[in-house]
Amino acid sequence: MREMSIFFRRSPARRLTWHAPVLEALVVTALCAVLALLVNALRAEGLPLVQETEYQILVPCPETSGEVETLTGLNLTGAPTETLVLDARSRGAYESWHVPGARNVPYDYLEAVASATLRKLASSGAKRVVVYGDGENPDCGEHLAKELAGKGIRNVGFIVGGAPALTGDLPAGVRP
Amino acid sequence: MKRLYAWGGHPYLALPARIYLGLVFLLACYHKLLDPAAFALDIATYQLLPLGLINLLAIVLPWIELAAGLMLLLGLRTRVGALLVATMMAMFTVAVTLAVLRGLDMSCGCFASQGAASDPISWFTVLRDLGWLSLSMYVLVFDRDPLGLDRLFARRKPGEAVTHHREHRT
Amino acid sequence: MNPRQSPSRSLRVAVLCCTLVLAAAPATRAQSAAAVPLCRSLGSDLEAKVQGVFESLHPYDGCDETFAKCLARKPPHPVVLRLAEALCRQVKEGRSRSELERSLTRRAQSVLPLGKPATFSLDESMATGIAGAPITAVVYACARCPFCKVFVPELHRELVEGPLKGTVRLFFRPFPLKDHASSTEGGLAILAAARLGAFWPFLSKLYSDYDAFCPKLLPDWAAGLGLERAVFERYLGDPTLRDALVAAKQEGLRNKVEATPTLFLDGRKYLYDLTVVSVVDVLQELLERQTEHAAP
Repeated sequence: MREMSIFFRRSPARRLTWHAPVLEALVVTALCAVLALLVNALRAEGLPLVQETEYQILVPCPETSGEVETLTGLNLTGAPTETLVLDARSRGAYESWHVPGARNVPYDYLEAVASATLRKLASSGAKRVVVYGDGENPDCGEHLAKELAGKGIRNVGFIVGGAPALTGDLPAGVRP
Repeated sequence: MKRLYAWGGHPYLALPARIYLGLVFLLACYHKLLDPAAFALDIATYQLLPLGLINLLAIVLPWIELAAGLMLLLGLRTRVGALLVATMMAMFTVAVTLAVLRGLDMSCGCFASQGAASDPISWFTVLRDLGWLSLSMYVLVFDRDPLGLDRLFARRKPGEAVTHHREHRT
Repeated sequence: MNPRQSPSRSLRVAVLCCTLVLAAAPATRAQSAAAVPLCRSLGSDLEAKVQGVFESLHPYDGCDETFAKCLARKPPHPVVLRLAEALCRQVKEGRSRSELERSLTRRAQSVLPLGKPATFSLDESMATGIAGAPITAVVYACARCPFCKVFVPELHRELVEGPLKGTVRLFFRPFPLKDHASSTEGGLAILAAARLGAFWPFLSKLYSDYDAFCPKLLPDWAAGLGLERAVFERYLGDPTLRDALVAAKQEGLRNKVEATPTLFLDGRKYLYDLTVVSVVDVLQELLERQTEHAAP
């Protein structure tokens, strides 16, 4: 209690001295340097004290891409709201045919998916996102799926073959 | 200003600040101690130091961080620990500010440094470092060693105990 | 002969033989490193590491045995010598044994004719080097990529002015990365400059003034190189130019380009060290192979 009361009272303005802490800091630094160099010398893969070759600080710049699941069909098990289906084709292709309930997110090879779109997808409540594209090479569906996965959307898969691969589920005469 | 300086609540604030800074530095030095080569690459990425000094800094700096972190956490020579932390934070703040001013965009994934990729620098990084610098200065000026090894060693010295008793009576 | 003396004499002979063999072994081991000029300049601590590498790794061509045995042959195969030099260079950089092995595998994949070669729609307006050169190199790069900014001009300089002059035709393919701000504008500007016949000067300007880049400055830069500003600006707004940029990116994705710069040598994706020194070394190896196969 006596010790605590010291803190309650206003302490008089204390005069700080700097010589001692600065000297002690230099001593600590020197001791740390000696210890560090000793440990480095004893280490199996210790660093050379002076680097001779330039460090390769740059690496090839990657396109944002994440791990995606490869799907062969549109297996919509579970509640309808659990799986979000995205159509990565152009607006025109989407309007001519699309999987019922699928949302159109046209994939642009040059521009990134808009932040607003990502926010909507993230807040959709879906447990899984399935993307289909045009089935070409490169497949816009595959690349949209990879971009979404790379930007943090979880459980993303894409349908191999895209919309043309889904034609088996369509009535005769209906084209995707 | 003198009243603010003499306010009795400073030790209450300085103690958690000291412990927080100690933990921050202990966590920061852990990976650097395990992998000095990766840390050397992080330093090289900033393109501030000559090649000949990079490895030396990468070898020595984590040990200074470890010592300073332990000193703050254990309350041993806390002013010295705070001074070391403040000096290092001043260096880091200058380095990050220069990198941001030069437009070094480490978030694009084009840099080999893992540290640059996982914690890309920005003005927020500068603000964060200034915050830690301010905390370390606060601890340096206002810490009263209420908890720690210094106070433990001070209690065991009879002369010191008499002094505390005298202070209380006045 | 005294029967008691013969065992001790035999023992002495055996010890002498062992000593001679052990004395010869370091000399033999040292010979393999000595056969390679670059390896001779390594310090004694790295020499031991190099010897260990040479005794455990095999070249992917030129010889079926370990590097140490292949280098001991008189004369060693040129490919083996080249690969050994490359290994010494990497040892000097501080690479571990497992990294060296992986690197050697990647070099083999870049050089040997394995698998189907990539296909390209090459644009002559974005080429450098003489037509009909023995080797065709294609580089996919982004206008706003910091690695490309250093790598592409350096490679261009080596191929146009260096020892490989006249042997390699280099094509540029734009591959704008979405993570790089204004990469599309930069890509369109490169294509516009190519249409106006000033591709390499414009690309050099783009990379040399990398830090000062701004899409609004592009017409000024074009004008500074003697290009017609109005025509350049018209091309920038031309939808067919954007289609061409998309087509180039799609081609890159078809060829499994995942990052920039990505290099292809005679249709094979280059997977080895992406430094100009290593690329030049591999190109020289490819030229030697072509010469060897062409010889009667």
